[in-house]
Amino acid sequence: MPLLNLKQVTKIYQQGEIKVEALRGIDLGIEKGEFTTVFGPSGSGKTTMLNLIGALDKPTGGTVRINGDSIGQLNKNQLALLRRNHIGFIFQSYNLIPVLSAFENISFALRIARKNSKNEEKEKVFNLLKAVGLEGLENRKPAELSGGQKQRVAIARALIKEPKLVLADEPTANLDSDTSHEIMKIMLKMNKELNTTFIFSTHDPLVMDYATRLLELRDGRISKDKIKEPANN
Amino acid sequence: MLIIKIALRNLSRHKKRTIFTAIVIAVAICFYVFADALILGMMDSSYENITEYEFGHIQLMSGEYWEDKDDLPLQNLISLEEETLARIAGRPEVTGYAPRLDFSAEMTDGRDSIPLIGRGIDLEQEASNFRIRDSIIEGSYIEEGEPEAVIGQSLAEDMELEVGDFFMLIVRTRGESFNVIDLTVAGIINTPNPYINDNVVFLPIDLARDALLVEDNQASHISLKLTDRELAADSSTEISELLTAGPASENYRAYSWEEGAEDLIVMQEYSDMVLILVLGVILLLAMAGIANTVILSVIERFKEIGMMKAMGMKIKEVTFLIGLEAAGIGILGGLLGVTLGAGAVYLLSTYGINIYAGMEGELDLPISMAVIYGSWKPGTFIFVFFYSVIISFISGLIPAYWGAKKNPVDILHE
Repeated sequence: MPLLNLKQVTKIYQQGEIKVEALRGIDLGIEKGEFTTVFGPSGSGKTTMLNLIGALDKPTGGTVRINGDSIGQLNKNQLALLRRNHIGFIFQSYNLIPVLSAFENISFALRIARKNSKNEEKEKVFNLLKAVGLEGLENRKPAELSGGQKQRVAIARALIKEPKLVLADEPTANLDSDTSHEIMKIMLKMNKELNTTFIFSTHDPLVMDYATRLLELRDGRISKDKIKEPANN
Repeated sequence: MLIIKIALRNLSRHKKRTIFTAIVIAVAICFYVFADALILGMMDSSYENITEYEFGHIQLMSGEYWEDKDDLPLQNLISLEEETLARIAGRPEVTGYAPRLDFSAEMTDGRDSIPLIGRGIDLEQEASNFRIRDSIIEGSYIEEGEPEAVIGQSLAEDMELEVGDFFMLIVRTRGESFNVIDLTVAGIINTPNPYINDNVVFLPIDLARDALLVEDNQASHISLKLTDRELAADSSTEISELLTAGPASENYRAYSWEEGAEDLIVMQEYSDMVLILVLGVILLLAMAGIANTVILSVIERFKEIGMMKAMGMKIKEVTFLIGLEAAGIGILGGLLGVTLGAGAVYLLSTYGINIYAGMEGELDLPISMAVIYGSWKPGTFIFVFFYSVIISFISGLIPAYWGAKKNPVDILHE
């Protein structure tokens, strides 16, 4: 069974009198461990699709199954629990909590998930900080970190609860190319070590180079679905 | 806890805003505790006036006399057997007793006259248990066997009497005939109780009994003093049972000073209510300030809130976190307020305040006209601190919920 299964998924937004069809019948299966990129022009529906996959929103029609559970049947609290336990997010503007240090931002995600004791938590956070190359910077607040360092914290925060799925929305948009490469290499490494599924929404060709599957969206439909070898393996 | 850390650190991110809002709360609290201490001090002082100069802690009298006591009748007087009186006086909480014979009289010096209250007292017991003798500012206390009286300073001034002057009391006897008591001013008193100073002449009870044709051992009431005025209510109930069961059960009862000072107690309860109302109004304004502070905080942190929800926090959890920040402002304001309030109450209790300057004699209530000293009531500080924290938390909840309900999809992709 695929980790993610979308069947005839539609999403319609009501904007006053006008109905906007953001998704028009998406059929998609994503297996565990995939490193997939979703791309397309503005208004193609990629952000909408990611929101549905991330259980931030519910489809108007069709079914979205995450790990076998149909999200259409879940209420807000159940969706929150699903995100809490199984889904990590990475955004282009990092969205770290400014008053918490790097260590605290990461352990906050673990506290919400309530998965570990305090000692276990400490060890896990330090190990992950080391894995993303931030050893020694755990006490710095986001304002004291560079863009690349902030994104590494965001990656660690997304991964600390060992989610089945990580959704990254334009993760390299605010980074230079060298830093972008570093970030992508870290995520690829995590993908291989933890078998975590990564789905990227991006316009950045650099990110597409790392992906093993490319999904192109146009006008709310999948126009291209291609498996490929990563260019920077 | 990390959530508390987030709340506290967010408060310090916008120090000016936080401090300003906290100051509003602090001022409200400081005002409340000060006013409460002042009112408590006034009431304490007034209760002391009543118990030390007028009523005592308990009065023993007949039920019929109690019903008509304001008319100062000479019927239905109390006369207890020695045995019964000894049993009452022997109770552990009773420190002493003094019989009094109260009557209406007209004081005259031959030129002017003034209606007032005559009070026949047992010289020794009155002096031992009450503070009339201690209040003498001129002359001396009444000498045993002498036709002397002690009068209030206001009365002396009104009648232009000095120590050693003669005056007469025209009285109506028990048989409804008129009689005159000739007296000399032995001493002039000035008590904190304006009612006593303006209206009462103290004379030997034997002299009063003779003039009023009242039998020996009869009195209008017998005043008891206790070790603590707080014991009066329970003690009066027990003594009443003793009196109704005793040999002389002529509907005698014991009345606590609280029954005698009902007006004052109602006044205190009313003042307490008004004070709480004023506090409520001021804190309501503070609530508006807190809500405003929280709204600004929420608007500035929409993305942060969206991220928390994306990470799996529920609406109520996000609401609670933001509400904690509002409670934090309440704690800060509360601590500042009780500290300032403690300082103000300390000054009030040490140096006092004369709020009745210029109003002497205008209030016909046993309210102390002296300098008022504040009274400490730790419960007030605790109550008002927690009240402000709870009110702050509640006032932050609505804007917090508004922010927490925002769709993370809309927030995160803006």
